[in-house]
Amino acid sequence: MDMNYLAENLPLLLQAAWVTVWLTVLTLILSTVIALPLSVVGLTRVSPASQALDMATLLLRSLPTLVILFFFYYGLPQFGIVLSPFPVAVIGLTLSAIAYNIEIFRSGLRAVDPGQIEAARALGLPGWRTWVQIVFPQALPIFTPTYLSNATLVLKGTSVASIITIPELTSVANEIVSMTYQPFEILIAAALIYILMGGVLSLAAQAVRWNMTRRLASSAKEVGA
Amino acid sequence: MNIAKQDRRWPDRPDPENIVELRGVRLDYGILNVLHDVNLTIREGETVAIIGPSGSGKTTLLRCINYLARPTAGEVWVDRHLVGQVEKGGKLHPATEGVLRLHRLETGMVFQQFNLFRNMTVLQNVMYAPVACRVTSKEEARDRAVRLIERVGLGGKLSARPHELSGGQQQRIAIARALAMQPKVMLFDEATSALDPELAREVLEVMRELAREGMTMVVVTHEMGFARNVADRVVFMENGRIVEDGAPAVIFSDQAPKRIRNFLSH
Repeated sequence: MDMNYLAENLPLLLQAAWVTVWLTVLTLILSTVIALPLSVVGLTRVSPASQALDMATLLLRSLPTLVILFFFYYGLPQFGIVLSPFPVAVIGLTLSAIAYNIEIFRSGLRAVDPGQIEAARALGLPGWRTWVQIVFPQALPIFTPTYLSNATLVLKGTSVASIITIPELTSVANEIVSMTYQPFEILIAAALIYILMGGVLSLAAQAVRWNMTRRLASSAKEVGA
Repeated sequence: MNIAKQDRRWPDRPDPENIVELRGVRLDYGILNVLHDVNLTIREGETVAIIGPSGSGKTTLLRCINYLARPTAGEVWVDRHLVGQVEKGGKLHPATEGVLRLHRLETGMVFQQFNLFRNMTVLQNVMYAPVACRVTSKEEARDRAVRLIERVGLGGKLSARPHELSGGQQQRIAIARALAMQPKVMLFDEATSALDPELAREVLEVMRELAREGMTMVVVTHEMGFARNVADRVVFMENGRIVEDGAPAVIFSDQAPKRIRNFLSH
């Protein structure tokens, strides 16, 4: 292992890792903000809107992210719409993340006792308060572990953006290797950086899961109906 | 038949003494006819017990009063307001959820499974809705909530979470939560069915107290003792119809129709 060679290229890799972090964070924020309100659609009753949404998420989940990226990057310019690579990457990654996030949020929201919604309706509470202040806080601990493990997938998925010339971790590592023909050190370093970033997300998921199990155990003990 | 589409004159308002008035209420789920032409009048301060076999439509009838179940036809009046419908251009139209919300402020409901908000403390459960629905200020809601919680005997549990309470305690808090909205009528949907007899007794005691204080109450129940001793009137339902409506002394006597005596003897 050539440590000098690694030290020489590490700043480039870290800079690229920063791009990966940005892509991941932007994708997570956008897909979460968009998926949250959409996940409520069709939960209490099926409507044409909810059916259309189901179709759209099914489509998005079936499409490889790469195809979505190609479509926006190479397909749209044919109609005169030319976007630069970074926005295309964010849009593409967000679209496929939305589809998964909707399903993850729904599974959590569905796990909340429907009696809670019924009680809120009987009290005359506005719909948004029911969802935001009653159902959502109860669904949060249920979907958070799944959400965070999906976030790890999003993080790893950003590597496909290398294909549309985004200088993120995988693409920069690849570039260095293609110039120096010394793949081992660079790829190990890139892998370690991914593991570090994914590890942070996994630790967060683990912490939430522990916290939840503890809370469930203590509430089970205290119930004496 | 959708009454909203019919051309008709504005219906007559009920007598001001009648807090609840159901006129020709019908409810179908597809081809299943759950309620069939139900007429019922409940006067201010009355406690009416609804009894009858399982599947007779008691709970559905109760849920029609606050439109948690939407009748297929008929009129529901609560405190002289037509529930679930609005007049536009001389015709009646189904109310939107937003309007229904306002209609529901007149009724308080207590559920079989209590349905306390699990992410809130006892105090938050009781004071949340009056503040969220802008019925009162936060300070007033808190004061009233504390008083109501003390009234149902749980003044020491203000900061407890629902899962830390027994079923009977949860149900008493659920009653306080409904009362906090100062409803014109309280609806009880088998409020004691999920409780063992001892815990049911403490809930029934709170309900008895409410009835004594003159709250208008509609109580779907299997507690025949409550129906006989506390209710002013007992309504017997079967197959989506009101079969009998009378004083407990009559319903629980040998003069009652045979089907009621059969039901009560089981």
